[in-house]
Amino acid sequence: MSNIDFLALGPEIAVTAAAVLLLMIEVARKPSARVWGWIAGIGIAAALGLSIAGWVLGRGTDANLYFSDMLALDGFSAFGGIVVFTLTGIGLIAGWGLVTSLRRRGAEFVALVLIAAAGMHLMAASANLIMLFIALEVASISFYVLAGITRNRAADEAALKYFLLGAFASAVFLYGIALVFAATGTLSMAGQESFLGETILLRPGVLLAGIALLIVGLGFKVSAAPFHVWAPDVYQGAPSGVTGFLAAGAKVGGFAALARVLTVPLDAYLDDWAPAVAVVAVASVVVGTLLAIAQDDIKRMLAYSSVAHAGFILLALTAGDAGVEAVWFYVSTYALQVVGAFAVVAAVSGPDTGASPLDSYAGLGKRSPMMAAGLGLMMIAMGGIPMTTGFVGKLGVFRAAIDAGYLWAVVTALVATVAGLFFYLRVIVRMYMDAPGGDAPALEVGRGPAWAVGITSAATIVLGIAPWPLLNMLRDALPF
Amino acid sequence: MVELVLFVIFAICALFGAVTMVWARNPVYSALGLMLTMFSLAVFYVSNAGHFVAVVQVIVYAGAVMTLFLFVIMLIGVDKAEDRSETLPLQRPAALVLLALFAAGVLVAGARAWTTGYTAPGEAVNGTIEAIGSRLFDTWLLPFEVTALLLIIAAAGTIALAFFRGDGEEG
Amino acid sequence: MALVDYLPIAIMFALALVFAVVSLLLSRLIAPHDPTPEKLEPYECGIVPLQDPVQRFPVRFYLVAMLFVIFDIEIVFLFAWAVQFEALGWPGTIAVGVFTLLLVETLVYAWRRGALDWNIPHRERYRRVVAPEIEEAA
Repeated sequence: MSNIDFLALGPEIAVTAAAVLLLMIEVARKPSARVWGWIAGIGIAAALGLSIAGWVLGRGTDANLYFSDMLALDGFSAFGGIVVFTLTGIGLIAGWGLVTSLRRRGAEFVALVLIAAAGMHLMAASANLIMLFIALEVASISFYVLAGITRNRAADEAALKYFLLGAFASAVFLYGIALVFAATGTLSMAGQESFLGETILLRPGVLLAGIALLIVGLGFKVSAAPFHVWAPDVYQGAPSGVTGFLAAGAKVGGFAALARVLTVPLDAYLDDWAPAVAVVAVASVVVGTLLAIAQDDIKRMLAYSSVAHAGFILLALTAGDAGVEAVWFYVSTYALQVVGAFAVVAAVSGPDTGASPLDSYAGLGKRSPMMAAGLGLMMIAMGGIPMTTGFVGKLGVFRAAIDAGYLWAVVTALVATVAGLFFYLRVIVRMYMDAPGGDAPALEVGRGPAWAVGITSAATIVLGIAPWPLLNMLRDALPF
Repeated sequence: MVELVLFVIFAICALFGAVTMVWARNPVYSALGLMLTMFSLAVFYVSNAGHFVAVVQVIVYAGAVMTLFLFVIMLIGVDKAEDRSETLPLQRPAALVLLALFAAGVLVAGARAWTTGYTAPGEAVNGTIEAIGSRLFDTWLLPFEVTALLLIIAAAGTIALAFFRGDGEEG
Repeated sequence: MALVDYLPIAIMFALALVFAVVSLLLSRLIAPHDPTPEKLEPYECGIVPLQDPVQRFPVRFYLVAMLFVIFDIEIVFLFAWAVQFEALGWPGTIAVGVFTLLLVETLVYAWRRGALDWNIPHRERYRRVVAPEIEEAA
């Protein structure tokens, strides 16, 4: 066994130890939810700290591969860890009402969230396709269970649909791995990179088919059209307290994996896969925007909007290596917007219910000015209006795609951005212009959603006005 | 020659099992069809020198996982008639058209560009349990350990979803 | 190992198949076929069944089957380690130790959660119907 490195694996060890400890204490003592919170909080903080340490030591350096080339410790994986564990922390805070409403099952819920976080970070750090597949499954299977954790009808449906379609996508992804392995003779991404860089394949049919299947499999996870059909039902059916974490986590993990797979081992075939990625991106933007307009449930609307956002992020990937910074900026800030928006949804509709009709947001500006302001800000940011992170993110992906020569895709995406403003602003209009239906009292907001909305709003504005610290940081966040 | 004959026989078995699995109206037949496919795959593993994988295929998939499937079928109840009406009317024709397109794609690719770019090294594949054991705990150590996470999720997820009733009480 | 080494298994499969087919055929050919209404009853004596005996299983079976699969997979990995025990040495033992520890934790968790406890419904019914004043023990 060569080159074991506990800094590279540190975040996983921290959250796994927290999850195991939590389950053990749960069955031994049946503690209060507060104890779960402390264990999870310490585990996530330790993982975040180790990711930051990994960032300080690993950024910008060349390939630091550990565990027989299974795991990379580079700026990419360390930044991925920082995003994932921040997100997990805020997601748990926002959904804490769900944890307490689950009674004793809350322990399993928190443990699954912790293990899912380990899986998502491994997705960003894997340097081997089999390792990546197992990481993907760790994250995905936790997500399936989390989507159905409340066991009501809507949650059951969401979990089952997510599981069946997700298992199918995983199989497609695995098939892609097999074909890429057949074409290159190795599963290590570094090995594939050097093989494909040195060898000219005269008939690369197997490799191209493998790349296509990899894009399909990961495209499903990030809900890019036409692999997005699961998203609306899962977003709507899953309990609101966890939907934000599911949505943001799937995006971050999926795009981290996609960016590394496409730009490291398959970099030499950029000219072959970039047009396919551009087509999927444009399809996602158009489908997501058009269908989001028709929704009258805010969670379905956010689901279709997430399809559109997946398209925007994919646009940056058409630039290959040069687009990775734009991908990171967009996906990390969008993840915060999603978690913030769903924290408001959880506050308005209750963290353990699924559906959240748009009508229940009428007059929210009067019922809870803070939540309304937070949701309004997230809508503005998702719409891409200046002074928010959404604008900076869109600017970055458009610039990357134009530099790569995909002007037509950018023009389509620009039109879709303008059209998308309609449904984002509609939410704001409902909140501030419409009177609350019936006798709607002031909304009682728990501390969890309030904190989550506060943190994500602050990040959205601060990084929207002054994005340079993050942008400078991202220069070091490239894969090896 | 023997291998070719075996391949043809078990390829037919595998396809037959797969089609039965999808087509059968009775879920128990579906499960048995899947089992036939699993067994046929185990034969393929053997003919590719994957001895250990073949045994695992029989023990875990044809044994444990099939038991699980049968329990689930019994759980749902085999007495229920399957409802085959569909909400999306064009689903089936669309699926057939897409399947035909996919098949055409595979055939075209197979005829024109379906060669692997990589020529395998001269060493013979060694799929015995000893070879797997020594590589699993060396090169593939990390994926092996992470598999434990998957198994924890399986236990915690099953208990969270199936063991508790909807109201969070044990039951 | 070569394909030929699997010949005994193939022969055994063939024998099993032949045995099944021959017994069915023989019983069809040799056994006297003389049905009467009584003989066609599910039980020749006893109560005539009123409903289809096919019933749903309780979800507990699924739980046990799932736990079985989990530990089945563990055994597969342990087997691969056991045959190379000496060659792998301490690093292998530590690796398997970590893996096993995580799964023992899972077992303890499932056990203490009561997932292996078969009689909870009875206990609950007893508590509710017979002795509602008894508090359910944790």
